[in-house]
Amino acid sequence: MGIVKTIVWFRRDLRIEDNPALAAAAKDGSVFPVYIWCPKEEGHFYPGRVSRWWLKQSLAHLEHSLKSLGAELMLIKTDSTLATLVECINAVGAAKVVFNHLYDPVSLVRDYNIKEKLVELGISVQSYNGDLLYEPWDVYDESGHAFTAFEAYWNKCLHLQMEPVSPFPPWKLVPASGTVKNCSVEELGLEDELEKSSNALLGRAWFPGWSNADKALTEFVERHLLDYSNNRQKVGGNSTSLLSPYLHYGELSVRKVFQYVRMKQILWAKEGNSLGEESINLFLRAIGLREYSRYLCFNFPFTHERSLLSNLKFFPWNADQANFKAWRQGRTGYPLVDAGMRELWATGWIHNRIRVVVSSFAVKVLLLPWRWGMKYFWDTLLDADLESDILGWQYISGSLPDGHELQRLDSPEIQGSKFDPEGEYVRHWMPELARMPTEWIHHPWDAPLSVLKASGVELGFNYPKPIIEIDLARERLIEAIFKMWEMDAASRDANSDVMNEVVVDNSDGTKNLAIAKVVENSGGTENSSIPKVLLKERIPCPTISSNDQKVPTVQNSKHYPFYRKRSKYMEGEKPLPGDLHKHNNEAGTSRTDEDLRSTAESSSTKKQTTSRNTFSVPQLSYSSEDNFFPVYDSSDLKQPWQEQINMQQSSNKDVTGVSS
Amino acid sequence: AILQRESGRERLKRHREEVAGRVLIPDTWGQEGLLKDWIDYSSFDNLLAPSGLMSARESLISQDGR
Repeated sequence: MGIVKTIVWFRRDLRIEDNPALAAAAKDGSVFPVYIWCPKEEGHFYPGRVSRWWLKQSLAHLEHSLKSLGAELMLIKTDSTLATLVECINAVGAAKVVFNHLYDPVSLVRDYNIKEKLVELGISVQSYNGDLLYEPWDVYDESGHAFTAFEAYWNKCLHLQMEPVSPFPPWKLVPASGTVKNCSVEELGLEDELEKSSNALLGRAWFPGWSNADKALTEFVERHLLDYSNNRQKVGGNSTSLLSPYLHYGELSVRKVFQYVRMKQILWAKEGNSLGEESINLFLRAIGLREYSRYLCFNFPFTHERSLLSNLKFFPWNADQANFKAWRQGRTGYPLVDAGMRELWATGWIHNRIRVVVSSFAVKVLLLPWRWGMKYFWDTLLDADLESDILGWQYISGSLPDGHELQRLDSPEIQGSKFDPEGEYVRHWMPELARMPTEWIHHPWDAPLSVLKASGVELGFNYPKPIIEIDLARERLIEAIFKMWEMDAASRDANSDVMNEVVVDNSDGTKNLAIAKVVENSGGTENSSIPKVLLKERIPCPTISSNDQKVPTVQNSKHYPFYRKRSKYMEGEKPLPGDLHKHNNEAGTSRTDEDLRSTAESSSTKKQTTSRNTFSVPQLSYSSEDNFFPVYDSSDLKQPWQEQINMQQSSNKDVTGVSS
Repeated sequence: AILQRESGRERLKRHREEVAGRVLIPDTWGQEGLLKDWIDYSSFDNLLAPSGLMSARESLISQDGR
């Protein structure tokens, strides 16, 4: 046992087991665990009400556990995290600070600045991976590029070697003595007086804290994992793992989850239990999506030129506060949406599919600014998590190559019959519709008057009429998309001097690492062009970790002569009808969407012809499936766009979200 | 048969049954006054793209490779 005194800075790693920072510090000598609450530094992403409630319970839990191990957790409320850390260092005489990585942009910059300052002060700082199976820079394709689609990313992950879990937490912590101004959990002010009554509901439904996370994991794996494949589609009831809030606050090690499930997989494979194997694959995918959310945020960070959901930059939102309120309160007249919003408020958690349904409804049916929806989720979801939430909003809004197209508008009526076929979920949350026959439960507005009467439903009185008819909503969405394209093209004309170039971001003075910012030059829905990010230039051996070559470099246009090729190809494309043609002429001559083309495996792709693959670029292996830009697909030219959109209704590939 | 505590799943299930039909989402959320600000991109974008982000990423990657 050494004599090093170490400050262990807890953040979103509120656990004892498989906590690399805590383990390293305990091994070196004495520890001084702190949790620093600095609302001022949280800014826009100040945790919402329910998230703070969870945090409060979880901190109390951790405090108790650390005390049992011999060290007291210092809870400190401050205006400056850095100043508080320095205060702790001085009070203890510590030579070292350790913590586990966070990957969201806000934390990244804060951690970096703090690290720099502490090093200047002669303090040793070490950070660890406590949140992911794989670091975001350790997973890349054969040419060293970051993946831009989930399937390829996850397949790669499953073939990589992983850091094993350290199976035992420290038996005993040697406390480093020192006096700082700390406070009680209550005094951190995580819960306002006004919030307590709403939060009381949550206390009846959830048990935060790492040991409860362990129990939840064990119960899920031993009793519910086997049927996950059958049950995960059910939007009501306990069909999924319910682990997402625990994972968000690091109360559960994701590596532990993975290893536990892997052991089951081996066991079930031996028994020939194919249902079990299928369930495990699906559950691990859900874990993979959480990994992927960090991966995308880290490798394709938002810059001023490429902001979050920048493909919607010119979208003409309908900033109608009354509509927003109707959405928030579950009074849209669409039973599945309304049930979801009520469950969200009452429990702080909803099934991933319901998240997709209600968020799509806000953006595509009501045309509400997506930030409104995101902020409401942020405030009401127990597992509110920046990266996962970003992934979710990108997924529904046409910002991901393997997500929904922007123009895809699913009817809640059809979704209801698919995901809540008996109407149980709706009846559960909507007592006013409890007596409605299943036939009409997802579209009461179509029900005969006699049925409505017999069910005690009076539309417009005890249950609202649809806030907008779905066909009208579809028309408006299409109008909005056209408007967006026009604005987009106009803006590009105004900035035509930067067109057809790949601009390298050196604004931070980091020449090695940059996002090759492909100028937003593409037409239509795809101006979210995902740039290329090179993670490994040369790869001596693709699956074994070798960190010596880890110097990312910028890809610039010289390496990609095929940009030009693609342009020619586009020019030679068959003329597009009407507005699409006009739009293509304005904007379609410099598409650089090759990354986006690499993956999508969604529904309407099977009709894709092979002709476009002629233009595949050697270092990328395109799949032949490519429907991210359906309006440009040659096969689509034969049919009116409206038909195309209708066809997409049948797609049911909802993969996003991390509410596993 | 000694006081087996209710599991998290059971507790959530029971809670769902208890509150169903009695859920009243309050008339005001409390953040309505901010909605207008959130139409504007810049405030969000500055937070998601803070200056120094690229250096921070690079530093984390190179530190890991050490």
